Parts: sequence; C-alpha cells; structure tokens
Amino acid sequence: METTLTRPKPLAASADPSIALSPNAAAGLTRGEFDEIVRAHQRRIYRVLLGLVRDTDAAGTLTQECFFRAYRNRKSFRGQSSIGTWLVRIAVNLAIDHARSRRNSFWRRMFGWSNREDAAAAAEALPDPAASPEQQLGAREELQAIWSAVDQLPPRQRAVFLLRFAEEMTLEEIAQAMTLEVGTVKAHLSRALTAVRKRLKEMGHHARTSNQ
Amino acid sequence: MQEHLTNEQLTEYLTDPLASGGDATIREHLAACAACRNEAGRLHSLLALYGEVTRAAGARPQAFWQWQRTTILTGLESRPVPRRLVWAAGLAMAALAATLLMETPPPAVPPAAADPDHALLVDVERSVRRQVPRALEPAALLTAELSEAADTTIKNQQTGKGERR
Repeated sequence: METTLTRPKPLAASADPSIALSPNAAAGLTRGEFDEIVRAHQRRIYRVLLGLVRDTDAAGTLTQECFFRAYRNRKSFRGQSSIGTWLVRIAVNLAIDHARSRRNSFWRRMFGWSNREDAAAAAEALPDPAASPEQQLGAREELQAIWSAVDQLPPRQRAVFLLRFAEEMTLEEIAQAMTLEVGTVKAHLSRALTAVRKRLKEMGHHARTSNQ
Repeated sequence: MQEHLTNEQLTEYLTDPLASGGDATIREHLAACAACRNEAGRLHSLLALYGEVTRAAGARPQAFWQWQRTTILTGLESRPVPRRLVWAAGLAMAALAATLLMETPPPAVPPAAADPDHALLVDVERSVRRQVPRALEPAALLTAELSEAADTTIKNQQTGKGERR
C-alpha cells in the first residue's frame, strides 16, 4: 500500500503574529521579525494613542516610541499576554505620561488649548449619509457629548473606555493591557458610562430648553 | 419586577453583553420594559458610533504607515542609548580611572629634586666641617703648598748634614 507523506498545512495568516511568539523567541527577534510585528500592530497602536492624546503629531511620535521601547525591552516580554496586548500597555503608559507632561506645560496653561476642535473634526466624519439632516445633527451632538464626557474622565478610565468601545477589546484583554483586575476594569467602565449618560442627559435637557 | 435596570446592570449589559445575556434578571427586564430597552439600544448605537468615528479618525494613507515602519526600523539602529545606560557607563569609567590611578607607582624622582632642603643641609654640613671657609680656599691651598715646600727643604737639609757627618 502506498503511503503519501503530506506536509502540514501552514497556519493561517494571523493579524497578530505574536500569538505563537514565546518569550524566548521575543528576546531573540530579528529586525525582519520585528518589522512584521510593527506592520501588524502599528495601526491599532496609533489609533489608541490618537484617541488618548488627540494630537496627530504626538500620536505619530508616541507610536514610534512605543515600538522603540518594545524592542529595547523585548527580553522582558513574559508571554502572559499577546504581544499586541503588551504593546497596548506600553502605548497607554506613554499616553498617560504624555498627558501628565502636557497638563503641566506652560503653553497649555497659558492658552488653555483643548481637544474640542479635534472632536468636532472627527464627528464631521459621521458614517451615515443616508440619515436625514436632523438625524445627522442629533447624532453629531450626541457624539460630541460622548467625546466631551470622555475627555473629562481620568486618564485610566478614558483608556479603559477607549479600549472597550473603540478597539473592542475584551474585559480580560483590557485587564492585561492595563495591569488591572477584571473587576476594576468593570468599575472604571461603569463610572465612565455613568459620566457619559449624565452628559447626554444634560445635553438633552439643554436641547429641550433651547427648543422651547 | 424592578422598575428599571440599575446603572450597574445597564453598564454590564453594554460592556459585556455576552455575559449579561446570561443574566436572567437583565434579559427578562429588557424583554418587558420598553424604556430600558430603548435606553440600552440608544446607548449601544451611540457607543458603536463612537467606536466607528474614533477608528475612522485614526485612518491614514498607506504611505504614512510605510514611513512609520521605515522610521522605526531605522531608529532601532541609531536610537540614542538610554540616559540610564549613559550614566552607568560614565560611573564605570570613573571607577576604572580611579582604580588605575591608585595602582600606578609614583614616578622616580632624583633625590636632590625630591628634597631640596636635604641637599641644602648636606651642603651646610660640609661647609661647617671645612677648616677653611670657601672664600679663602685658594689662599689656604697656596699656604699648604708653601709649607709643604718648606718642610721638604728642611728635610733635605737635615738629610745632607747627616750624610756629611
């Protein structure tokens, strides 16, 4: 009887090349392998940073810094989470440090720069052209209210909210990325959502009173 | 049945619908209460919109991502050494220099140059031991030669008298 030897099927290409990456493999990454990781994760890291710092230039610079740090500290990767989650953790820490330094900066205190213009620009990109102008306006205002409420959240709550509702990460992934317990992540989300609902109610109240 | 879902229940439903879907209280309440169902649906849609807009705001052309990758890969080579490492290297160099300095023997120095006071004292001692001051040394030498010549003459004369006898 003839037996045929078949080669094992290659694994399906994954969006996260780090899934099968062991800590030892991470420590010995070549530049080419690291380039693959950059390619797979740069968009998400940039999005997370942009959502947190609301500044395209800063988000670009911090994205680079995130990967520099990851490469420099690749030996400290323990493999307890995916490299994607590990990178998000580095990015969130960078954004928190950045926000801290910006909050204390002379120019920010002097001119009180805010992110409202950025939020307005993003809200202009509403993806439902089929909606009526009134519906679009209402949705835009509600979206502004969410952005405004999220802006005023403490940095960690804001990061948790963004990772859950923009990046659609699971509670467990967020807990790993933020080095928190799942229960703490839920508590952050609960407070953030309460703030958002409160802001939406205020906005609805203002809308009703202004229409009268 | 409770009047409306609590904030925590609504949060749980919105943040983890799979898990909260298994919660009979939330599920049954949403099925029965139109107000909560509407509120949950409205918030769910808004949060989905927030996610969509936030993700859209992070969209960039392909050239941007390519540029980022190139910058990152180039930076891996030419990235400045972290400040902590610079400090560590500086301290190591200082420690090495201090060790080398402590172990190096002092250079050989000529005795006179090493202690000029000692040389002066030796010179004074020699001067003191001399019977004639240095300034009169030539005269003393002449006197010594004259007295030596006189002694020789006397000796010769005495020797001549003895022979004649």
